[in-house]
Amino acid sequence: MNAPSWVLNEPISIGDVRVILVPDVVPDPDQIGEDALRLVTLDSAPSCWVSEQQVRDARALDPDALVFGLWQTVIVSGLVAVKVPEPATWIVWTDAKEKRGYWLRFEGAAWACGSISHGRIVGVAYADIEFDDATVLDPEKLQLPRSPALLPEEAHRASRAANRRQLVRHGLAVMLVAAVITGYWFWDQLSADSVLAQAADVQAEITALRRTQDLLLVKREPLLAEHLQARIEWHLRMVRRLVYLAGDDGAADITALQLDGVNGKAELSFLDGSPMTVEQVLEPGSAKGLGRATPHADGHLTIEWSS
Amino acid sequence: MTIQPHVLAVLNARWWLPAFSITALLVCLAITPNFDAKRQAADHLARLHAEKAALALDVAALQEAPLLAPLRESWRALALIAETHGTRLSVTDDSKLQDVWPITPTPAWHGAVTGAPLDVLAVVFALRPRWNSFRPVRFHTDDKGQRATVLIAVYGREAGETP
Repeated sequence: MNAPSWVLNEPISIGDVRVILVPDVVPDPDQIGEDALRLVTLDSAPSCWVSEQQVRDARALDPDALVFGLWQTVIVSGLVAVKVPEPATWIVWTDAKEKRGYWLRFEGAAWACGSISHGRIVGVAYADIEFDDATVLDPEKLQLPRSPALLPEEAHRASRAANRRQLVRHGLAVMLVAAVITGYWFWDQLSADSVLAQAADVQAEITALRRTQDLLLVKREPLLAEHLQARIEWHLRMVRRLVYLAGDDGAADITALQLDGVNGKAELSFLDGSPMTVEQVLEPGSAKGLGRATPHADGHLTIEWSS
Repeated sequence: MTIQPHVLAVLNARWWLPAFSITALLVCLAITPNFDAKRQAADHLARLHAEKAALALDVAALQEAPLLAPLRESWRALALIAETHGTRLSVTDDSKLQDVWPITPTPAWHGAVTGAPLDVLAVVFALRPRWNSFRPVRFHTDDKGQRATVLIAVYGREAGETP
């Protein structure tokens, strides 16, 4: 048999990484005992287990080497299909000449594994397994699992370190955003200060113009704005109409308040009773722009308008 | 530093970090639009420019405006117009009408033209070409509509005198 042998329990290199592969158990940790450690594989893969003692022994051998399970590495490397597995048996030889190695089997929706010594399965539970159709795996194109086997205290330290890294990463991100926001705020303030400096200059010019205007206003005729002239004239036209309307037949209290104001108001009383609408009070068309005419029970009519 | 177990449990939950980051980001996005000091300042500057332009136009127009006549002379002119239309000009009690008179540094006397409503209106329209100096500010009639009064601000030089 010329199949290449796998090296277990000794430091080897996979890629540029020094690792030690240890024989793991799939999928039942009871074969190991209470100090079983679960290994990280693929989501759909069966659980792989090693004992704490196996990891401690590997550490003693080479403290810097990462420890991985044999089947863990085989599964992650894709040498065994685990997503939709079909009944099959796989073998890795650690000594092909002496026929020593390990086997993995999937049958009846269950996984099993064990060791081989001198071409025979160790233990009686799987003594009937035939290796004629077994697939012998080569230690080629191996990929390292995401996480090596870690002792509980190492896992705890790694978890804390991962948390710290994540904390730092998010903290940095938040600080970066805060720094950008703060920078934008400073830029906004500085820009505003620059504009406000210009505004102060314009304000000074306005103050000087006001001073000039005040000086002129005591010497020159104050100019009445055109819109104010128009407003006063509108009020006066309204007042003239109402005065004519009141005439000899009624009395009027016309209060156009400020003639340059917007609103005017008149109280009219008629001997023959109040007209009901503005159109009845004023000639057609002249009611445009009026607010409303409100007749009162006592015969008064309130007319409000805006210019 | 030792991390307490309950703190560690929260840390291990891992959900709060992205939640915190997203919250911080949302808060930043929410407050950023309020950083508009520059825009407010620019708006303020634009308003000032507009005010200055309008003021400059007013000042230019004032410089072209006729010189004010002396107050006493203007008052006499108004009294003559009022008399011509059968109305009477009298001095108004300013204290009751403070909110009516236009606020201006130009010296002014305040008068009331009283008479028949149409006569009073005729006085106002007669003053129309000179509304820069004679400004009608309020009109009202009595309860029976027989008498009307229009308040007029008379502008002129020489403040401090009385009519």
